[in-house]
This record gives sequence, C-alpha cells and structure tokens, in this order.
Amino acid sequence: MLVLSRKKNESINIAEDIKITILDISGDTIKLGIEAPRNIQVYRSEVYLAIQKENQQAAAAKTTLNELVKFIGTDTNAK
Amino acid sequence: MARSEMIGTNIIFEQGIPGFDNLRLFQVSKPFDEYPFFYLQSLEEQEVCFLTVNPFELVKAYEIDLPPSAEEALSIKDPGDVAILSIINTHGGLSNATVNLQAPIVINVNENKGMQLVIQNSNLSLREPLKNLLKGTGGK
Repeated sequence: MLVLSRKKNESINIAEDIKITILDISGDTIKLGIEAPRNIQVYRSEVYLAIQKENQQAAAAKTTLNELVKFIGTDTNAK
Repeated sequence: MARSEMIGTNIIFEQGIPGFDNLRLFQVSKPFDEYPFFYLQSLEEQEVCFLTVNPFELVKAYEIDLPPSAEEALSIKDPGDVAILSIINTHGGLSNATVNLQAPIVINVNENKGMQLVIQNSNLSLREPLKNLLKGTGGK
C-alpha cells in the first residue's frame, strides 16, 4: 500500500486518467474531488462492501422452484 | 423492462459483480411465463445462481437514472437496449426474502453485456422485503 501526504488543493493521479483532489479538510472529514473516465464506477467502500455481502448471501441461498411457486401462490397480487 | 432477447444467451459481465469479481459469464432463464422472476446463473461456477426479479413489475414507481458510466460500459445507445433485474436475497428463507433495489443488474440485451449498477445517493433499499412488494405496499 502506498501512503502519502497531501494538503488542501493538492491531488494524486492514478494511472493516466484518474485524478483525486483534496478539496477541503474540516475536522476529521475530507472532501475529495474525483475525476475518472465515464466507464469507471466510483462509490463509497462501505456501499460496495454491503452489496458484496448481499450478493454472497443471495448466491449461497438456494431456493427451489417449488418453494418459489408456493410462496408466490400465497399472494394473489403478484403477476 | 425485462426482455425476452436475453433469455438463454450468454451475457458478459466484464467487471464481474461485487463478491464474484472473477465471474464473467452468466445466463438468464425465466422459470415461469406468468411471473417476473428470473434466474441469473454463472456459467463458470455452477454453484453461483441468483434469483432475481424485474423490479418494474413489483414496484410501480420504480425508476432508475442510468449514469453515463453505465451507458458507456454497456454500450447502451437506446433505452430499448436495457433490461433491469434486482437480486433477491433468500438467505433467511423466502418469507424473509429481500430485494436489492439499490444495486440492480443492468443488461444491454442487444450487446449481451451486463453489470451490477450501484445507484448513488438514492432512497432505494438494499434490502426491501419481498413480502411487502408482493402485497404492493413497499418500495419507493
């Protein structure tokens, strides 16, 4: 892991096309500006981790067609 | 917005999906004609299969705004290219099942490309109870 210090308004580049700038520092909160190509998704790590966990749980749970039919059958509004 | 073109064709997830970054190829199947449920099956790992649902069929007011990053990644040129599926988590059994409305699977049915989109800053739930949606009382 690379660790480096930056001051307000300074930035770092990742590869050729990603640039992260420290826009503001207030207490323990830092505001970042992220410039990245349009095809790159940028999101908060905790959001990503939550989705990862949801996916892993969802993939591990095996629901048979019979169970599904029975479950839907108990609700007549589904179509 | 779940389209029949995608059924049975190989769909490429170039970035995998969170938790399964190594898996690239999936196939969609629709077990029932009359219900909006779909399976998303990994072609590389038999064990990895997601139960999904077309969220537009469950949540009347469901809407997502595809960011340019997604349009670019999936080569989407027309709204008609797009199918949306939400993963159902049946970890706690079907009666406690939840639907991931916040991070839907987006598929370009004409290019056979897919991704899991993380919708930023939305009120959409990561764990919307399926029960509520089937009764038509949940969702936003």
